[in-house]
Amino acid sequence: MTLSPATQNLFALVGRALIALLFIPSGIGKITGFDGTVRYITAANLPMPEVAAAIGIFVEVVLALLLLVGWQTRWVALAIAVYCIVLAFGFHHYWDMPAAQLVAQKFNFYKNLAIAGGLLSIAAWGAGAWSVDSMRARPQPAMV
Amino acid sequence: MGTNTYLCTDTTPSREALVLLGRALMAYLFIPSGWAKLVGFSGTAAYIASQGVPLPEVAAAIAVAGELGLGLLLLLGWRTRWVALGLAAFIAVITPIFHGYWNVPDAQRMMQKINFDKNLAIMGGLLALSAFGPGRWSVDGMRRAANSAEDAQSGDRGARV
Repeated sequence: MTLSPATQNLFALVGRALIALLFIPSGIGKITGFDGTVRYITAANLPMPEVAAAIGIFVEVVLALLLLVGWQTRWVALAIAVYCIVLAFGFHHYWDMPAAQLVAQKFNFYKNLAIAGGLLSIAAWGAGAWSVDSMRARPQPAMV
Repeated sequence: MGTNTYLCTDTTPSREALVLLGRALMAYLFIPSGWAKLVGFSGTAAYIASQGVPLPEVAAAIAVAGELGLGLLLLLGWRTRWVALGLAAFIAVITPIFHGYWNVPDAQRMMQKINFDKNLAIMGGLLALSAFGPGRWSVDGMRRAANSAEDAQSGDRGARV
């Protein structure tokens, strides 16, 4: 299969946008409903709920915006992928949930991992040409 | 010449590991789900019929082929870019039907909206994978390596997978 460079860049941009659009509204909701977010994190028995909420806002608003515009895309995608996996285990550990929530949380768990998987392919190859990274026309920092 | 500039050209083990792990994580959503639809086929068809989809058995068979078949190919990395595009199209079709949150009772709305948005994000990841390809640690990558001498001879550096 040969994709034209424009198609590649379009797919990469639309792909980044679809992922960013999961996070940005959710992150804004965490700002406007900060207290509720903290209570939700507390209910999940996670440590330092205020700090965790602030980290969540940073990832979902700031890093997702960077993913959308494609700035330091590989590092940003890797960080968001780690965030998705942490959330899957922190909030969607379906294996010890009551039966009423089990199926819904199982979907959430596997979907979080799949979203992380898509982000990892962006972390591997970068944002494509339609991105700040590419316009700056500098090689991205070598990753390991 | 020089097209597909980020398809496997600047490869490092860390990049290959990231993209392989990424494919595995995506396949891990689809393969068990497709398998469950196969072993519980009549229940799958009943669920599809309950959403008002015509020909529920045919739709269930397509869903099994899509999730189990394409999921396995995604993991193996065989014709990955088409497979990823096919799975993205599959998600685009099923998401409004099964997670149309604007159409459900209030009690389910939030959960369905989360599912809807997560499905779009998964579709986004599949599109990115379709754009960039599966890397060398894949059936496509091995076939590319086998064809590379031929490609170099013909001067064709485009994606052949």
